[in-house]
Amino acid sequence: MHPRSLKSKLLVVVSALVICSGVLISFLVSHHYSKSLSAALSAQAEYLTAAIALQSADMVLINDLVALQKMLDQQLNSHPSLAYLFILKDGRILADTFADGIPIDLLKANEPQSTAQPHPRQIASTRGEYYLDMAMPIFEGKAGVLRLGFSEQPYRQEVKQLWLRMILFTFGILMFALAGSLLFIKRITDPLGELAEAVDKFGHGGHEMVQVNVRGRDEVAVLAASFNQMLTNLNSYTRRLEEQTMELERAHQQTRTVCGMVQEIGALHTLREIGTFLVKKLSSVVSCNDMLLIVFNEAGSTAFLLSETEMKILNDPDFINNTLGILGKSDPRSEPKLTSEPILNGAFLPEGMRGSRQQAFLPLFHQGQPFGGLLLNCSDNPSCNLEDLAMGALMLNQSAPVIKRAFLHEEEIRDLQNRLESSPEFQGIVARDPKMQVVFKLIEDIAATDATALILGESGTGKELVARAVHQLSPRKDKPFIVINCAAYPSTLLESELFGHEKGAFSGAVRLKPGRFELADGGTVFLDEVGEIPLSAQIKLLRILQMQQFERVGGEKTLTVDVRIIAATNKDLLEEVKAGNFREDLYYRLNVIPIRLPPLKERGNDIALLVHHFLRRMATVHQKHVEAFEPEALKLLLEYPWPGNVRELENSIEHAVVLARGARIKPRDLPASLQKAAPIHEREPQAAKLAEHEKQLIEAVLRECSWNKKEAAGRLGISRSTLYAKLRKYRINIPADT
Amino acid sequence: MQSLSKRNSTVRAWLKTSVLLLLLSFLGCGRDSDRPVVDFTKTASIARPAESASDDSPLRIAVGAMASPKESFIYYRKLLDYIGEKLGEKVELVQRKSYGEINDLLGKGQIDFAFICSGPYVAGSEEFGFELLTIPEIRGSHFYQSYLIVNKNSPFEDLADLRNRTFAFTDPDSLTGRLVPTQWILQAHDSPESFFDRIIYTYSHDNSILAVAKGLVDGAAVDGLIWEYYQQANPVWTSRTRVIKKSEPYGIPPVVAARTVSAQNREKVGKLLLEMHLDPAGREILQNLMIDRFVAPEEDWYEGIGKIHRSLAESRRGNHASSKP
Repeated sequence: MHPRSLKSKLLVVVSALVICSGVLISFLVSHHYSKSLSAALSAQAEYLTAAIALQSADMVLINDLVALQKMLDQQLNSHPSLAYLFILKDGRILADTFADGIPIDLLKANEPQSTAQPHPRQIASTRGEYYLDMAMPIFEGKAGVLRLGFSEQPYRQEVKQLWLRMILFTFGILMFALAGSLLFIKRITDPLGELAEAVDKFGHGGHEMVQVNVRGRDEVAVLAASFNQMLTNLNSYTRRLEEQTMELERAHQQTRTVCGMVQEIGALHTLREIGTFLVKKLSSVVSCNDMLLIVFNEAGSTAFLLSETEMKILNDPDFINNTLGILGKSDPRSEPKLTSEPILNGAFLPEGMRGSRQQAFLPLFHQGQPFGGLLLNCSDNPSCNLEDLAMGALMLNQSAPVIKRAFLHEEEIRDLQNRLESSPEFQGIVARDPKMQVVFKLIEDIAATDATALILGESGTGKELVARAVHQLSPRKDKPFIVINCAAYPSTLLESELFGHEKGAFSGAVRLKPGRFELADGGTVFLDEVGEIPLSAQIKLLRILQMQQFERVGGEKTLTVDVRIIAATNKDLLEEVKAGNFREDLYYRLNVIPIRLPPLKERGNDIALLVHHFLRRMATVHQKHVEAFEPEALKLLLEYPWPGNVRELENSIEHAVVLARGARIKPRDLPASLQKAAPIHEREPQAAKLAEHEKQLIEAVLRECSWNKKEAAGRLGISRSTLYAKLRKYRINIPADT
Repeated sequence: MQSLSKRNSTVRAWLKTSVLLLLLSFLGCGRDSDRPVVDFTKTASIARPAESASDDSPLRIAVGAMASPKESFIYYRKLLDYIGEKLGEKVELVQRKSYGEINDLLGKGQIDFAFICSGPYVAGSEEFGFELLTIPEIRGSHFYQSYLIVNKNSPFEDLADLRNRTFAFTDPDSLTGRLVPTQWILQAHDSPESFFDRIIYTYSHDNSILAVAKGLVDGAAVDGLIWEYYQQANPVWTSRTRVIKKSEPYGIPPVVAARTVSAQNREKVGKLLLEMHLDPAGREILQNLMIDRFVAPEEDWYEGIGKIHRSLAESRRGNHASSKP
């Protein structure tokens, strides 16, 4: 038993209580008994003293000393408690019971205090004996004093025995109480100990199945029951927590996998790369025999089938319609499931997917819209389970935006490639340069709308052709396309030209003339050189743009028209706005969709194309059999910077065709401006010139900055590492003295 | 919380104090420190009082055991103190169990004066030559009688009724207590030993009265003066007795002086006693003793007693002669 345990403490307390109460009771009882005995002794002594005194009175008076002595001896013998007797009269001992004389101290030890009553006095001997000495006057003192000594030995012996008995009794009670307490405490503390042990065990982590026996219905039992309940709850909570933690960890793992995957996918560019990567990645997560990623284009006309190794493009309407039908019925929230029925038309599927006895289809959603799915072949693969499928679905849909982006990108590239691979002509515009392809795409995109477009480009870049293409591709294509060259009219006439005039509006206005806007109602108005439009007309133009309303010059009637306005300029309109020549509000009204046309020198690849295009056209127009260019002539054409752009090229080709004498155009057939320019451009390749320029520029800047590379890089607008790379590339050596 | 802990500490303090007090009371109890300690080994042999008169006790007056020692002491102490006071001397009262002892002491001169019974006086004066000093006059008489008493409720009417009964004598030398009734029986030609079934000696008249009153004995002969004294002063026991026979009067018990006492002293004491009734203090003492006064005696007042002695002596001799042929 642990000394600090509750049991030992209780036992100690019970023992202490029993001992203390036993001792106290013993003390009280023995004290009381002792007092009673003492009182009894005193009473006996008093009585005996009085009796002997009475008896001895006559003997003393008649001086019968022998009788007196005999009487004293007799009394001593008949009373065991009597220790001694003697009679003292006038300082003399008449009789005594001492064998060897009277102890001297005894004579003075006691004396009567009254004439009638014995006086008791407790005396002790040097040998440790106790006596109750009685001093009794005989015959009122007239016959001397009787002294009796009662030994307290028997009385003390009796008290001692009582003490002993009480101690034994207390010990017995203590044993009994201890036994009882032990049983009781054991009964009380055992469940408590068990509980404490369980709590301790629990505290040290062993809470697997710590349960305490509930005995009885006392507080400890309630405590034990509560502890058990608490532990059960705790275990259940812990289990749930562990499950949740595992779930969380799994989710975390999945998230990490997905994130990692998305990150990796992000670094990939083409749909093929992404598709094959995704299929590979998913294969590591979902164990199945085969996997096929199917993605549809925006129009739902083409299906891309991506396996681990290849990408296949499928345009079969049956397959597409079947698959799209399944996708249309799918729900982004539904759980994936395995089915033994073939889901998709097996004829179009890769060999591994055909004849699958168990398969699953995970639809692919982007912004809630299905645009493909993952087909899995799980035939005879027991490890292909729904949990993995759910994970796969999650990963798949996490990658959906990337797939979608890649897919769109792919489609865009495909579209461009299609354009490049097909006819280079777009609505009469001949171009294969990607810059122009972007313009074409834009034209297509804006054509269907009524949005105002502002075409920016140098003179001769084909602004009108672009405007016309927009009109042609728009729903207004059957309506008039009115071209107004704003620079072609004096400012006074422009308004009348644009908005028309009433009869007599001004001198010379002999009749009502409808304006170009009126004429273009329902169609498109192309305002060329819009930067040249005077301010007064700008206001009216703004009104048309805002309200589609205007009045003829000199007229009061407000006319409403439905026109689409496409403007063009070769000026920097913002500069004009700053200079106050162009209304800012009009600028922003016009510049809704800016279409920037590159100058011909920026579409160098297109020169050859255009050259041959115009050659064919001009040969036809001028009915001349001209088929090709001499290499020198072609070289001149290709090297010329074409400041007048396509128009200059067209004119130059016409010039050459007209002047050509054979089937091949020679350099001399070309306009003189081209021939003059030739030697200048014949020096070295363009790239070399650019590199030289760059080298010279870097050196100049470095010199200005005293070869401080950080400052030089800042001034050049490049990073320091780039500067170092350039220095190495051009072998620019830093002078030793810096 | 604070108040609780405070209360706890108070309770603890109380407990500690209680336990301490209890322990102290345990320790305090049973202390024998106030007892005087006696060394019982340190002893001294104490000299017993000698029978011889010491030098520092000039006047020893004995009182014969007519009444019980305590009664005698009570009655005579004041008288003796008076004498001592008047004489300017310390007076010692001497009592003895029997008349014979007093007579012996008186004869040896170990006692100076004595109030003795008439019987012993007569016997002793012959043997030791006591000087008759004075006699008390009681109720105007210097004679007294022996009363034969029986228990008041007994059927006994005369001495003959007491035959084969128990009888109490006072002292072997007592006139009224033994000699007179003995003579009565002798006159009827019998001896007390055969007449009575049993005889006891009480050694005082009040003891004999007590014995009869309590029925310890069937009859007793007592000093008439004493019986009357008790009958008058304290009739507790006498009232339970009945006097069935009174003797002829005899000289009253006198005050005698030893022959060794000087005539001067004898005269001084005699004079003091004879004049005592004239002194108010003396008279008061005499009244308490129911004595009228002390008078000068005359020798012939004790003639009757002498006769009894003689007749008893004769009968003793006759008994001896018959028993010892």
